[in-house]
Amino acid sequence: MTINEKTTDLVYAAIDDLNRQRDPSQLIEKSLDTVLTGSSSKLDSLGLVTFIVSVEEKIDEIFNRLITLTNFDFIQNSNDESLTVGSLIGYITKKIDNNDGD
Amino acid sequence: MMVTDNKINCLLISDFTIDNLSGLLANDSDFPLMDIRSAPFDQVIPTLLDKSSPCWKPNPECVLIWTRPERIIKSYQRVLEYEEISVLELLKEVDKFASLICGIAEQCKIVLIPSWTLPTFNRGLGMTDMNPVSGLENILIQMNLRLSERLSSTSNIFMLNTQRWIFNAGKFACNPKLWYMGKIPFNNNVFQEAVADIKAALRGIHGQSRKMIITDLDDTLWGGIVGEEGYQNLILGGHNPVGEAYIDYQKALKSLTKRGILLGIVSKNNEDTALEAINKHPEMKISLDDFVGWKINWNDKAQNICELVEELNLGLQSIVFIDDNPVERDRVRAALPEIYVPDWPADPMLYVSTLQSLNCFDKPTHSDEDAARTNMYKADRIRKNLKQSLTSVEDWLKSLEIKIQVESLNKINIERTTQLLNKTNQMNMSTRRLTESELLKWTEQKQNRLWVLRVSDKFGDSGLTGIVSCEIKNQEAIVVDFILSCRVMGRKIEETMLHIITDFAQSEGLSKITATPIKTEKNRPCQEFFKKSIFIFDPNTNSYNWETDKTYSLPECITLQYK
Repeated sequence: MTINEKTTDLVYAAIDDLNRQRDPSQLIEKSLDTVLTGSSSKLDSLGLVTFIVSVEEKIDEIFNRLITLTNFDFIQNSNDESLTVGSLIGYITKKIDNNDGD
Repeated sequence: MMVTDNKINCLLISDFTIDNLSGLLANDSDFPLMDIRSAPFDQVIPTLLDKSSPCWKPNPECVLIWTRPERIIKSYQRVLEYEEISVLELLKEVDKFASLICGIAEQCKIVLIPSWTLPTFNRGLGMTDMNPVSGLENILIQMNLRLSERLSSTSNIFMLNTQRWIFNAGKFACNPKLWYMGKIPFNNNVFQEAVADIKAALRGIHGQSRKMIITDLDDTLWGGIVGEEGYQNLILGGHNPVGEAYIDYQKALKSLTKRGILLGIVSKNNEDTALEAINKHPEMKISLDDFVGWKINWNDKAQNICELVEELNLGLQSIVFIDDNPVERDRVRAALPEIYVPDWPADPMLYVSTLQSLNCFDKPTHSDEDAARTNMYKADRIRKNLKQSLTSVEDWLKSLEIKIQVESLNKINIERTTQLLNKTNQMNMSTRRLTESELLKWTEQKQNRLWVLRVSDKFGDSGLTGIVSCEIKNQEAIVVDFILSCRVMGRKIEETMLHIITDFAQSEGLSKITATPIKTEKNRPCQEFFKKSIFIFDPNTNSYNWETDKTYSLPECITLQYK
């Protein structure tokens, strides 16, 4: 599996975990286009925090790497609609590819 | 607690953000389903004090109170800051909190309290952290013990072991990021472990815990195929790690019998060969006396399980089936979906840990009857052998010399009575479920009567195995509970219960007894008993009636004694 494929799997696994605690009418779709922040996102701030921290934990588990996602603008400023599942996967893949970490 | 398909209404009270647990509980599809609501964030004490708060309406059946020790016990915050404190004073704070919890226990059917924990990353004083006057962990242990002790006198409060959830959740169990960003002290793995334990507790209270393990033999109870290798060559004990693991697995199974879990065998083998191994292998830790029954032959295992379960008067929903062979497990799962067939590891060194991690045996109380259950079933096997040797059922019943002692509900028998009330499914007319305090309240009402029955015979004491109760209304005795353990069904105890209630009604000058069995998935034996009884069926009301101008005789084979 490529790094991108592994990352996609772990992000989707985090979505599964998140959906287990969400109202069935508010499930997050496992799609690259799913918007995670801003007014069109189904996630409130608590849901976003839970999801992002879960993704960090899974990165550590799969890649044995600490990559901090929680201090980014998209967490601090959740009105920004630029963060999608696809862009998050791209960001993580690039960090791991470049051997960037904390 | 009524057993219905309805959801259990649960209130979560916490001093941290508990939405994640709330969502997981609400979405979990295992029995019982739950409706969840949460008290306002970090308002634990006001919520416990103010029962008029909207979160108490409607009255919750279940309340879960999950607090952080440093938040709810102020002195513990000082302990965390390495201040000198009086442990006695700190424990008094714990007592006050315990009193508040006991105060709400009357308002709901069950209260669950996750024990207090420290975040995994806090190593406190390190080498002196177990010091009893300053160690963070030691003082926390004392607080948990004190809380547990203070709550133990209230029968519907249960402390749950949070430490195990955290341990199972892995290294991010107490992820500080969740705390800083969301005031969530635990990650979702911890909450998922909590959900599993909360559901197991509720199933136990609903009488849905499993009662029996049926195990395979070859490569399950011992290593190797006894029919091919002979019992002398089995892997069991010796200076062999796998042999030791099988020994420990046998010991673990055997120890479960002291918790009231029955053991049985279903195995594809020649019976003589398999029994010879159990009887003669010098390191066998489990004996035939530990098993209440077995089916060792070459028939389909699902069929064998059904036959064994029927012989023991148990329901399939009471059974756990353990087999090393995934094909056999799949077969039993597919044929008998009510049976719990856990995934079983290929490595025998993981058998004990897998067995001990099963959460399907949880029960709210443990009685003397639990410890004696295997012996009771063994005595039953002897009774059945006697039955086959005698020509008529009447002769067999007379030969048993059955004695029944009737008691009112009292402090000594209430725990076992509540256990029987809540776990009996087959011979149970109304299947109502109540906590100890609810049952006590019910019996204290002057129009209600309840009797419990202890049954013994020449082969042994079956213990407290029957409950019959009624409500007096308009000169009638309306039967409310008609409950008999499957261990003693079919020995005229049922008829004796009807005699007890008709005798009571006559002595009180009541005109009639009415019993209306409520049909459930599992109480067919009760329906059948009433159909065959000499009570008169009224199709208009679906009830069975008895006019007290006629005497309902005590069965001849029974000696009845009122205590």
